[in-house]
Amino acid sequence: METISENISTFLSFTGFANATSGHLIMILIGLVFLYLGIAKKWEPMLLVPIGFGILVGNIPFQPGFQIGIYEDGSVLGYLYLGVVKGFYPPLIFLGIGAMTDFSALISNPKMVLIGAAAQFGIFGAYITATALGFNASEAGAIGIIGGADGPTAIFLSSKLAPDLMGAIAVSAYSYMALVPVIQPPIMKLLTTKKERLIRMKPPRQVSQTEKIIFPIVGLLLTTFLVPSGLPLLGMLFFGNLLKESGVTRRLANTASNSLMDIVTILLGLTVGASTQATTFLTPKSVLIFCIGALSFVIATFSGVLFVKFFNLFLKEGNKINPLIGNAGVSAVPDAARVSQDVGLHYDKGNYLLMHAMGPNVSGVIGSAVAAGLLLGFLG
Amino acid sequence: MKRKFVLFFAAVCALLPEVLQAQGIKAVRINEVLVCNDSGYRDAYGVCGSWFELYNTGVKTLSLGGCYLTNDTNNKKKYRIPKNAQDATLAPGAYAVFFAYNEPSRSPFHVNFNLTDTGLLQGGRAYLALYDQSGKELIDSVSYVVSVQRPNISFGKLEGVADAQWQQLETPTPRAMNHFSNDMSRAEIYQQKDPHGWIITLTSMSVVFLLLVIIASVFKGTGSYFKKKARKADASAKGAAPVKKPAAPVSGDMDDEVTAVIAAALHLYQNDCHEVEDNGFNLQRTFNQPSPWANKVLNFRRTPIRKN
Repeated sequence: METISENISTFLSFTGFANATSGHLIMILIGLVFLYLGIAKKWEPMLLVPIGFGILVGNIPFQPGFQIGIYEDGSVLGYLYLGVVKGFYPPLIFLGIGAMTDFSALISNPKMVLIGAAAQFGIFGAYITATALGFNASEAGAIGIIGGADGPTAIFLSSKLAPDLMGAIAVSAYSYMALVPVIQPPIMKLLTTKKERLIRMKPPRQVSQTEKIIFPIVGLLLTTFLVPSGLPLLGMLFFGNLLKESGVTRRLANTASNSLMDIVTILLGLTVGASTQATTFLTPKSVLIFCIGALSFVIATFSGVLFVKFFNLFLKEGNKINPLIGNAGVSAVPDAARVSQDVGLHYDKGNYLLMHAMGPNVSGVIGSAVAAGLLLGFLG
Repeated sequence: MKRKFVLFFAAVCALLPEVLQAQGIKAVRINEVLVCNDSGYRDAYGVCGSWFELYNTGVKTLSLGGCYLTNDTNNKKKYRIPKNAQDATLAPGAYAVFFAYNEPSRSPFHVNFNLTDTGLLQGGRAYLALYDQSGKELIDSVSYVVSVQRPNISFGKLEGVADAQWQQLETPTPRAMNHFSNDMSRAEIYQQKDPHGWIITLTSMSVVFLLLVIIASVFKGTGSYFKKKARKADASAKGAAPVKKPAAPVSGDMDDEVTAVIAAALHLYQNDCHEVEDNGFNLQRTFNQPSPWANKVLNFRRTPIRKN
């Protein structure tokens, strides 16, 4: 009888109820909020549902030592998390992004590339802020990349520069990417006049297939010769795009942009979510990272919109750019471009900005990958 | 103008390898020196002799063949590394170790001097230098006091840091990265130099802008080329079959949309790709891969039928 009661008490000590802390409960609550936003509000469900569920998985309380937790050696979750720790999921995601992205908006109007550069102020604004708040240079570099609004790049860089902060950085980057439709419109409206919002831009010209094939090849050579440390991301991005545009590797492009992308997104989302184990995640540093992340998004949107307004000073009437596409310089593809479109349509029902905004948007992807390469080169 | 540009471009291309090679040799540094080697690193003859290490800090593979090594300030060409010596090429970030116990016949990596020779400089100091292939231009040098050298303790510099200081290495690291007990990471060095992050910010933003400006310029160029090409193709097509300007539609004439519909219908008809409409439903069976796992009938238990 005594043995049975001992067994039961041992069993109870193993259960999640016995090991739960307030931290676990807070994180589970956050996970549920993510799931609610993803499922009920349909905000970036592809990201928020795996991450939200991952947060639940990562915060089930347990007794350490049984190779269960994501940070325990030999655990299954730990093996899946290796793709994040060693940084091989992000380049695979970039392969898929390349295979899905149509760069013709950028090729047809190359000056849009510069808007993507302006939005990178978010990265370096966050870097300086993080340095001022006492983070060391490597940590500040990893935090700064949140401003690029690029989840895979943030994971890639933080895995190299600040592995301890990767969970907070990844969750912060993905959360703000999902919140792009909430964060950006007020800033866009604040910085533009009604007249500017009504600017109609010339439709982009049709781009030939040859140009589309040349773009990834020349793009790769130009970017990686100047910033070789960005090779894992840029190489895969342009490779994926060549698969799509060459027209002779349709099956590979389909796999890269569908099956492979889905598999990696599932693994990445789930493991990033699970990495937010309360014991390692709920720290003052994580809260600071979230605040700096929000600030970096605001800076990126500000600088993108203001740069277009500045650029317009030098453009002739008729060639002016609608400043509402300035926000799209962050690399949240295509959410940021969709925000430009929505805000543009709100003021003029016939002003479709999506194609124009895709130019700075994809340029933002290249820009943030280059910025990540530079930070890695300097601080890695 | 175009011709001049092409000539200039060709000249740059022709000179580029020379310039890069010259820069490559200058990227070599004396990286580590062990004067008293008692029981450490041995050469292929099993000898624990004094040695020094060269390191390629550049980004290009280069050849040390033809360069000069010396321990004599008056004789810059004391030891010439054989031009075609095997393994004399250094990849970026690679090391070459030379033994210095005056046995040059043993291999190209055995020099004809000792690292303990003093008297050539004052104060018991010895000297080691690397000169380029002309023997005139100094690439790197180091001088040290021989008497303070301890057995099996080398001195070296942190790789890849421009103004790195010579430091002692308790554990010599021939052909490997130097490790110092007080090593600072690159991030720490940057943090010391740039505590607020402004320098990295300015540098990185400039590079990002520069790169994207280059991309924009390149694709502006290719864009105008392709636009011109498309315009030419259009013009030649028009020249081949001049299109008559259509007369303005008058009452009773067909407008453009009707013409387009008729043309499309004719095209579909002539190419036999029109849809056959036989006033009936055209039901197509969807093809699913048959599998017992997907078969509902096989997956459900049948309700037993009671037989009276």
